[in-house]
Amino acid sequence: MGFVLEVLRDALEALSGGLGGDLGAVVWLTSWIALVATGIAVLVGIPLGTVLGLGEFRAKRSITVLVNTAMGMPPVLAGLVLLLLLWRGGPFGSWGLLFTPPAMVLAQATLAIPIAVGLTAAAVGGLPPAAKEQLAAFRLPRWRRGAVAVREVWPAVGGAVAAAFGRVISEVGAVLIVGGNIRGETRVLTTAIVQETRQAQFGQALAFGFVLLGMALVVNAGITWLQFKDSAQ
Amino acid sequence: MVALVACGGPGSERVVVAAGTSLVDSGLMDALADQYESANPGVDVSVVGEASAQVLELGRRGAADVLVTHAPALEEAFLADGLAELSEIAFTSEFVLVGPPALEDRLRGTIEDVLIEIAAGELEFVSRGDGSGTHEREVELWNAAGIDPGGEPWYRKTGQGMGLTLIVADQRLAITLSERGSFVAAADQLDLQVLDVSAGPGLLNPYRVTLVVGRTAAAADFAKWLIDGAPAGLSELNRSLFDEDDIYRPAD
Repeated sequence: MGFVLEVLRDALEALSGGLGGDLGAVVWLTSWIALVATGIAVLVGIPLGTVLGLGEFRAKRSITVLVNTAMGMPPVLAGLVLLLLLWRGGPFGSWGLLFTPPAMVLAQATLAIPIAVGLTAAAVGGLPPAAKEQLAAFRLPRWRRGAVAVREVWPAVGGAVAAAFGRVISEVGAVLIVGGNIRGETRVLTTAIVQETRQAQFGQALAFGFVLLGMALVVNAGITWLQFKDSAQ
Repeated sequence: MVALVACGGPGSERVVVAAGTSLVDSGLMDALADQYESANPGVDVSVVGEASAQVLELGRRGAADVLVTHAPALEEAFLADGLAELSEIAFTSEFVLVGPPALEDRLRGTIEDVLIEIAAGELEFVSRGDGSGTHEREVELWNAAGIDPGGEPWYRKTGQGMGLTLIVADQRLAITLSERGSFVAAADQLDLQVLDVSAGPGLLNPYRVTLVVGRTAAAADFAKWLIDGAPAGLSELNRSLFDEDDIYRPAD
């Protein structure tokens, strides 16, 4: 128990220094990468998920199976595939993205999009048949009908956003591979935790972990507030 | 208790060896473990790859039985604390400076001159930036050349193992210091070339094998084998792993 308490004290000490220096840069990069990646996942995933959930087409089941499989995509595999694609001399090597923050956004969005698609599809697909018939009876353009459906099941779609963000903020395998954990450039909270743990700086590692949890708490509180605010209407 | 639950077969005994990531990334440590296991079927050797500072920390906390490190200054502190039952330099390799082919002609000479040229030309250098033996040596070499690269825009730290650091250097057309074995193991996927830096004593890389105090007889036997038995087989391992003769050599 003494050991754990000692680490905990070190962690609090590290946090009491505030967000100065390295920690500030790491927190800033973590935040904007996670927000941009989640934003992409929301913008791409919710419309696609609505189409998949409401539409009636032949490949619907097979596509649902593929999306659900991609929801469980191992991050390190996504990282490896992106590394190969972005490798200098590889298909997209000329973009020069490897070991830069945009490559990390790409990796996280790749992992988060299937989650946004799958959970949105499940939410709107779960509308009662009567509601779906009513929706079809509206003389509205398709995209408007989709928007109405999303609004109808908004708390569940909000859950999809929260799940996508959770995937992005906690992910370490893919961002380590395509980011490289370069100090001041591509080091985020999760890769910093790996590094500090490897170097036996447990207090510092735990401090990063607390910050990570704090960020997840703030974002999820915001999403939950939005969920309740709308479902109360 | 934990060892009993985690080990492979009934009655087999587990020995945890923690080694620098260069030795794990080069494949040597796994090859040595395989060799020992096939000669001693009752023993299960588990290899953990970490930076040397963390390897010693694992030993200090009793999480590893046998340590293989290449960070003399850190090892000295460990030995001074009386934590080793047995500790000897078992084998050596060397450090190489590697960089993009375009810089091959520009960067040659003594290690001091080359480092001074890198700093003067602000050529990108990728550092391990962790507590590894390779990073410790890199810092010593910069000191010897009278340069403090910390905070310079051309100096980057990955904080990761040797393999990933080599990949970052390769993709960014940068220079890095690597242990020769882990570079050769990755070389056919990389464009990096070994720079023609005259090898002085500053590039020698001795590996120390340490048996932590109070470990099992199996752990002691494995440590003794690493020091006395394994070095004789190194040239054969060099050929099978790297197709070269002298990457790892027995200590004198």
